[in-house]
Amino acid sequence: MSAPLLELDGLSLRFDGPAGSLHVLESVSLAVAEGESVGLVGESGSGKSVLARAVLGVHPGPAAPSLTGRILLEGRDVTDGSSRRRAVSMVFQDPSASLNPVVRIGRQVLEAVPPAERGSRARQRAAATELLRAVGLPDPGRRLRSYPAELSGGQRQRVGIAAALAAQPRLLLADEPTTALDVTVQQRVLDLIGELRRERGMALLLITHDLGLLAGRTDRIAVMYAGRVVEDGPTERVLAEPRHPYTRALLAVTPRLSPRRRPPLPQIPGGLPDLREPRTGCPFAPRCERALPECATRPPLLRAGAGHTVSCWAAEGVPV
Amino acid sequence: MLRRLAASALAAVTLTACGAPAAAPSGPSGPPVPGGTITIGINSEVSTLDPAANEIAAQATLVVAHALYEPLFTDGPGGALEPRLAESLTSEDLRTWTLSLRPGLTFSDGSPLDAQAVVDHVARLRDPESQCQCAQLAAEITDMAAADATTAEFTLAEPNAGFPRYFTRQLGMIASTTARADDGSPLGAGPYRLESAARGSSLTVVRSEHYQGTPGHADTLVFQFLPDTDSRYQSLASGAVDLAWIDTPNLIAQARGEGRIVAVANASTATAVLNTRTEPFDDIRVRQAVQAAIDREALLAVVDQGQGVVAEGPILSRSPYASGTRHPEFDPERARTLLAEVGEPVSFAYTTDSRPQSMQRATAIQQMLGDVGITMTIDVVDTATWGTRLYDGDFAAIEFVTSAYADTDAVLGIFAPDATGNFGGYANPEVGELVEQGRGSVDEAARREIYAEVAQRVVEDAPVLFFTESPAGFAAAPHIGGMPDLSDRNVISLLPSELWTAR
Amino acid sequence: MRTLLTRAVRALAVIALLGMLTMALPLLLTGDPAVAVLGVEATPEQLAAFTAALNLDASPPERFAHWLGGAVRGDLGTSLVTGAPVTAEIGERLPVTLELLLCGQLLALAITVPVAMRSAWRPGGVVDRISTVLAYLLLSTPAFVLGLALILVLAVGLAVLPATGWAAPDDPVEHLRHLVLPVLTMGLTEAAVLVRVLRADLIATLRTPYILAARSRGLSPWRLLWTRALRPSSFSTVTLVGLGLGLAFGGSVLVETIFAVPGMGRLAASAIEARDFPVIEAVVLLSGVTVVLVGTLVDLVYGVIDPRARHAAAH
Repeated sequence: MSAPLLELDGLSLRFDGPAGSLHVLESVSLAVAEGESVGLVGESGSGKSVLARAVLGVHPGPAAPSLTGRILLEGRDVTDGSSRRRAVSMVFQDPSASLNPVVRIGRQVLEAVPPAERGSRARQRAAATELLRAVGLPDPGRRLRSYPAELSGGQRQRVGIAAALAAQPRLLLADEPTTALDVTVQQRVLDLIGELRRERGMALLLITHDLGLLAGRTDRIAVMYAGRVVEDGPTERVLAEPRHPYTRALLAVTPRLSPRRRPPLPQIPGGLPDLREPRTGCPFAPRCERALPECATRPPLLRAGAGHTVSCWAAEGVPV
Repeated sequence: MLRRLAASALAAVTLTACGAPAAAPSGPSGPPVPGGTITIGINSEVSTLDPAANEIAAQATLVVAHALYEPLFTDGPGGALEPRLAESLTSEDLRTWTLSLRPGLTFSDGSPLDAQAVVDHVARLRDPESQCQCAQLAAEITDMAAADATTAEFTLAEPNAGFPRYFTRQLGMIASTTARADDGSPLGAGPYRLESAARGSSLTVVRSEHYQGTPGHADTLVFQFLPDTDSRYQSLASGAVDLAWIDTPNLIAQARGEGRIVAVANASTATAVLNTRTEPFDDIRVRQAVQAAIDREALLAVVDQGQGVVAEGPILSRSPYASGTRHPEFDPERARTLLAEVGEPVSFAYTTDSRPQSMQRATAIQQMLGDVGITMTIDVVDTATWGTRLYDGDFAAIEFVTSAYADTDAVLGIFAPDATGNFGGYANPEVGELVEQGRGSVDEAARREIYAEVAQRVVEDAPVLFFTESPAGFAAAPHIGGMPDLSDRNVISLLPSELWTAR
Repeated sequence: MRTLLTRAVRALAVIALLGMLTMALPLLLTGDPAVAVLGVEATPEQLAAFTAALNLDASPPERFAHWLGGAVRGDLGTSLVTGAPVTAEIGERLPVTLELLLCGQLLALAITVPVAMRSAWRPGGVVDRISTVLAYLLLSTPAFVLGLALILVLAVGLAVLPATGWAAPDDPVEHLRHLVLPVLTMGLTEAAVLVRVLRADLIATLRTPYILAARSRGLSPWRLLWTRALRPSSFSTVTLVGLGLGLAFGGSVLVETIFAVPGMGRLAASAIEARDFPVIEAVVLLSGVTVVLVGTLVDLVYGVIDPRARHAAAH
């Protein structure tokens, strides 16, 4: 089997500040193969966005996180921040905030292409127009000169996608790409991303808190909780036969549109552990109805069928 | 490294100790060097050279007038008058005067400066429409005419021994009334003529070919207008100017301390005029109490940092008429006794402008008066308002720092009742008569006695409080020769034609 | 086009109001210009002649009408002190002050932009800490102290530049030499303020999601700062530069006095002291016109920096 496009090997990430440290990621191991689409699911605070930024290689604000473990991109170790410009790009969550309001669309779309490779003005205009057309923006030639304020939310997100495609990345990260959009637009944007991915053979890491979005769109699902990957497997399997108690609970609380009267939404009792302390043992244990005494020590990943791993002592159907 | 540092530090200390100047510096040795350019920094802008506009008759700008006009007379040592363009101005009865001009004088365009030109010049300035501050002085002339090319006759309304001194200022700065220079500036007959003017910035004059007397040493003089006191001094220190006008005590002390050549005279007198028309100073006892309560020695020490001398009255220490006025002593007890006699508490407002020294003086006086129970408030106004208040008599007590006391004959006239310049309304007819008598007295010894009597009456009546005589003048760079010693005069009379530069 | 017209009308109204107020100054200010010009030794006749000749007794509306009549013909009266036409006085001094102000602001910007960018990119770094200390030092130093300090160091100590004075541009070398110290004084004082403001705005901009997005697309720090972060952060800075230029003459008085530069600031100051009303009136009105012009310019610049401002104005 060829080397995966992206491999995270025991990645831990910590932010050190004057008020103490935040242990955001703990020993995360994850792989994305060429052309594969993976959904990364977790609630707010699970570390999924931080993971995406770590893969991307930027961090907001002046303080840089400290990393242990490895990030391998196309086989290269890029943990220390070496350039990965061409290989990875990201579609951001809030398209209004992630486009510079005073710069024209055309210029922003081509930002990822290094100046040396851009070519003449005419070539740049053609390339940008082509990208805007690929994301389905009407009248792309004129749109080049528009400012973000002149477009709707959905159109802005399309521009964001176009900008992400400009450098022809091998891996596309999509950090909650539809959270800030209307429901009707959400589906279209996701469809667009899926289409573009297949056309260009890109791998996709789709980050979301909404499990329901991933059905039929991703090859695999990885579930994160409190900085750890707790379950990782093929999408249909994870959705049909979740092994980790957290995954089951997530599925149970996902609201389903239904004409019949529904019982009140179940909640997962308890809250996230304190990220200021490194966690020993399973982070979900305090909230887990199936918790065993062994859960205080960190459980290893156990296989549970082809390509389906779960990090739990009390996982169902798993021989101990 | 450290040892080298210590060695040079030791050397520096030794050099400084040995090198401290014992006597005042006197410029480069040897005979005057002809040629070169001398740059002089003055404190105000000269935008017009017309004597009638008064700009070149101030203490600091007199040097410009001396370069361009060479007045008929200039102030000399001990208050004497030195004839320049004039040979003499004599009179038997102090009423009819005969002026003798040097022969063959010309303006800087070659036209003749004869007695008629002098008469025409005086007539122009005497016209009530002229803005000259000398107009009322010239108004004393009832009749004047040129007798021949070098002789003019003046007849005055009243005999006045001080008449010749008028010709050291605007009246004596003879400007041609028949012609002007190409750029419209007036023509003078001095050792230099105007070459160019940069408005607001500087004036450049060059040696005049038509000058009849001893030519000036320097080829060119540049007068720079540098209004800020400190940066003007720094221009001297950095070598940007060769001479700089200084009139604050700390800069004079600094210039001396740095070994610069300094030509200063006690030209300005700090006084305060009391309004004798209104309360509280219509009562002589209050005036005398205030006078007795002020320690002039202390003012000299604190406000003037010991520079200058205490003023003893309207006759200055270097006046030719100086005879030792007996100014009442500093005596707080006497002040309290007088105030007790008056009975009511005394309070008044002291008007002053906002210059730092004036403020210091006012504050010191306020304290001294407070010690004897007089309440004085300080009313600070800007210069224009100050001038208007003084002129209108709109004050109880007002500070007046002036160079007018340098001319004893003229200034004693302000103590006559209803005289212009009698801002406080002092009405002592005897003093008025005495001044007239003195001015009209041909016998110099008698005049001196009469003036002494006037001064004594004035300091005893105290319509004006006399504080200190303060020095002002020019500081020069060490390569400038010909700087005069002005310490025996009351006018800063610097003749730029006598200056030379060793560079 | 309509906005331009409205603006013009508003500006004229402001200036007309200003004109009326200025003409009332002789009534409001204490201090008789005749005494100020002629001196306290003048005779009452001289004072009366002076006042009458210059029409100083007339009422403000009369004087404004008279002034306006002259102004449209280009005659702003004559100076009470020098007797020269006011237009000549201003004409000679205005370019000097303009040069000082513009060069001062340009120097300030030339210092501010790179320093602020470096400080915002690495807050707490060497450049940031040094520039912060220097900025606070400059902010707490009055202009005249800074000017004198520069004179002491550069003119007296090192003797490389003239301490005071001014040379006309026909001698370019001397002109530049005399320009350095005054422009340094004005530029450094202004830069101290601008750096703090621009730095703070840049830091805020650098935290925005769109800057993060641009960084993720691989823009180099330099390109990022120059082409993406600077423009959205410049509003306050542009406003301050505009204010600095608009408050023109007042701002340059101290520098002009210390360095003996014959500019508008000094003209205004000495005119006020001498109650030279024709000059005061011309200076005030010129000042008003300047403020209005600069304000309009600043608005235009806003439109260039931020297209949203352009659209907002249009709607």
